[in-house]
Amino acid sequence: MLDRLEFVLSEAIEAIRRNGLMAVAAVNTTAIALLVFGGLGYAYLGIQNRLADLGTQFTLIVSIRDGTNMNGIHEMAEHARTLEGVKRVVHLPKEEHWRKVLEKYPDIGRGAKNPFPEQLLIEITSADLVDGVRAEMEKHPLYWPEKGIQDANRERFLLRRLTSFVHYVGTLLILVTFMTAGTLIYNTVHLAVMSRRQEIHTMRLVGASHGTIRWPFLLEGGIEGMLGGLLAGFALWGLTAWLSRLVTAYSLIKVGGETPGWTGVVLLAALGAALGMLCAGLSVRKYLGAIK
Amino acid sequence: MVEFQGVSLEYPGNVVALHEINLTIRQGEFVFLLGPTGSGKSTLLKLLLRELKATSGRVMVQGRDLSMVPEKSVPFLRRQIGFVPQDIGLLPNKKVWENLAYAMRAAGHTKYEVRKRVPEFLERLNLLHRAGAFPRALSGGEQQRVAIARALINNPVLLLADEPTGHLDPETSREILQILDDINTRGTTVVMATHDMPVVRLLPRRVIRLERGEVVSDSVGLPEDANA
Repeated sequence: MLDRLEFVLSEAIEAIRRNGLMAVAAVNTTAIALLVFGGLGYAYLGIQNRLADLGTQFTLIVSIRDGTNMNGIHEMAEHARTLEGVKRVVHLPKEEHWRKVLEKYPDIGRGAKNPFPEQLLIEITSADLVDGVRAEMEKHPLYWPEKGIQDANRERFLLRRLTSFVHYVGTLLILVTFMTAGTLIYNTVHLAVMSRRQEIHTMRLVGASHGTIRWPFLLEGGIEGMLGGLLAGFALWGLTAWLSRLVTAYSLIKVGGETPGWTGVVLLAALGAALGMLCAGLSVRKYLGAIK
Repeated sequence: MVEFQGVSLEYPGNVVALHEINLTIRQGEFVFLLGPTGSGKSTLLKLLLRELKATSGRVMVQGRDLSMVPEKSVPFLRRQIGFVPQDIGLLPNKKVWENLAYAMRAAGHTKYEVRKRVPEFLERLNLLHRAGAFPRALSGGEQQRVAIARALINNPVLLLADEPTGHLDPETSREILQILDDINTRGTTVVMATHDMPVVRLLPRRVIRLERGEVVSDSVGLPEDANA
C-alpha cells in the first residue's frame, strides 16, 4: 500500500516539476482565491462577533474634554442621568482603558502618551430616545467634540450593512476567484494530459489501469491546490495580525476576533487541495473516458 | 493461444479494415503478419490488445473471448501481452530503466521487484550501460531494444511487435529479429507485423500474408508467389 502510494506520489511530483511555470501560476491563483475567501470569511466572522458583543442594548459613549477633574465628570454624569430614557451612566476612566490596551498590546504603548479621553457610558431604554440624549450631551460644555460620541446603535446599523455587503459582494468575489483558480488548475492538468497523450496511450498499452494514470493527475491538482491554500493561510495570518495591531493602535476598536492561526492555515490548505483535486478530476475524466 | 473466428472490422464510413479472418496461432509459435500498408496488420494487433473491438466474429486469447472482457479488466489483459508499438512509444521524460520500471509499477509490481528485474532485462538486451540515458539519446536499434525489454518485463505469454524493424538498417533489423527469435525460443509466442520481405526471409517461420483486410496465404516461410 505504502509502496503504491509512493509510486503515485512520485509520478505527481514529477508532473508538477515538468509543468513548471504553469504549476506556479495555478498555485498563485489558488492562493489569491483562497486569500479572498479566507479574508472575507474572517471579516464576516469578526463582524458577527462584534454584533454579538453589542447585543441589543442602546448605548452612547461620550468623550469628556481633556483636563476635566472628577467633580466635572460627576457633574456631567448627573446631568446625563436627568435626561429622558437614560437608564444607567458609568464613568470609563482613561487610565483604566489605557492599562487594558497596554496589557494586551505592550509594544504599542511603549513610550506613547495615553490617547484615550475620559468617557461616560450611557445606557438608554429605547432606540427612539438615543438621538435626543446624543443631542443633549453634545451641548454640554465638558463634551469633547474632537473625540466625539460612539453610538453602539449606529455601529450596529453600520455593521449590519457591512455584513450584507460582505455577504453579497463576498459571495460574488469568492465565486469569481474560485472559478478562476479552478479553471487554471483544470487547464494546467488538461494541458499536461494533452501534451502527454502519447505517453498516456503507451501507459494504457503496458497495462496501466485508469486509476494508475488518473491518481498522479489528481494528486498534482491536489498538491497545487494545497500549496495555494498554505500560501493563502499564512498570508491571511500575517495580514490579520498586522491589521489587528493597526486598527487597535489607531481607532481602538477591535475589528475581528483572534487571528486565524494554524486552524485557518490547515482549513485553507484542505480547501485548496479539495478544489485542486476536483478540477484535476474533471479535466482528466474527460480525456480518460474517451480513450480505450 | 490466439484464435480469430470469422473476424470482420469496419471503421465508420463503411471502411472495411478486416474481412472474415479465420486464424489460429498456437502457443510458442513465431508468426509474421506480412502485408503492405493498409492491409490490416496493425488492426489485427489492436484487436488482440482490445484497443478495438471486432464488428463481427470472435477474437480469443488463451480461451477468452476478448469482446466479453469488461472495460475495467482490459489493463489486466494487456499485462499478459507484451506490445512493441510501431512508434516505439517510449516515455520521453523517463530514463531507460524508468521506462521499464513504469511498465512494472503500472502492473502492480513493488519497488523491490523492479530493482531486481529491471537490471536483468537490461543486461539480457545488452542495454545495462544505457540504463541512465533518456530515449532521445539512444540510437534507433537501442530504442527498439528498450521497447522490447519493456514489452517483456512483465513476462507476457504473447509478444506483439508492430513493424519493429520498420525504420532500422538491415544490420540492426537482423539484430532485432535475432532478439525476437531468442524470446520465442524461451517459450513466448511472438506475432510480428511487417511489410519488409527481406526481414521475413531471414527467419523461416510461419508467414500470414494480408491484403486489403483478408488473409491471402498462410505458410511456413515466404510462399513462391511472394517474391515481388
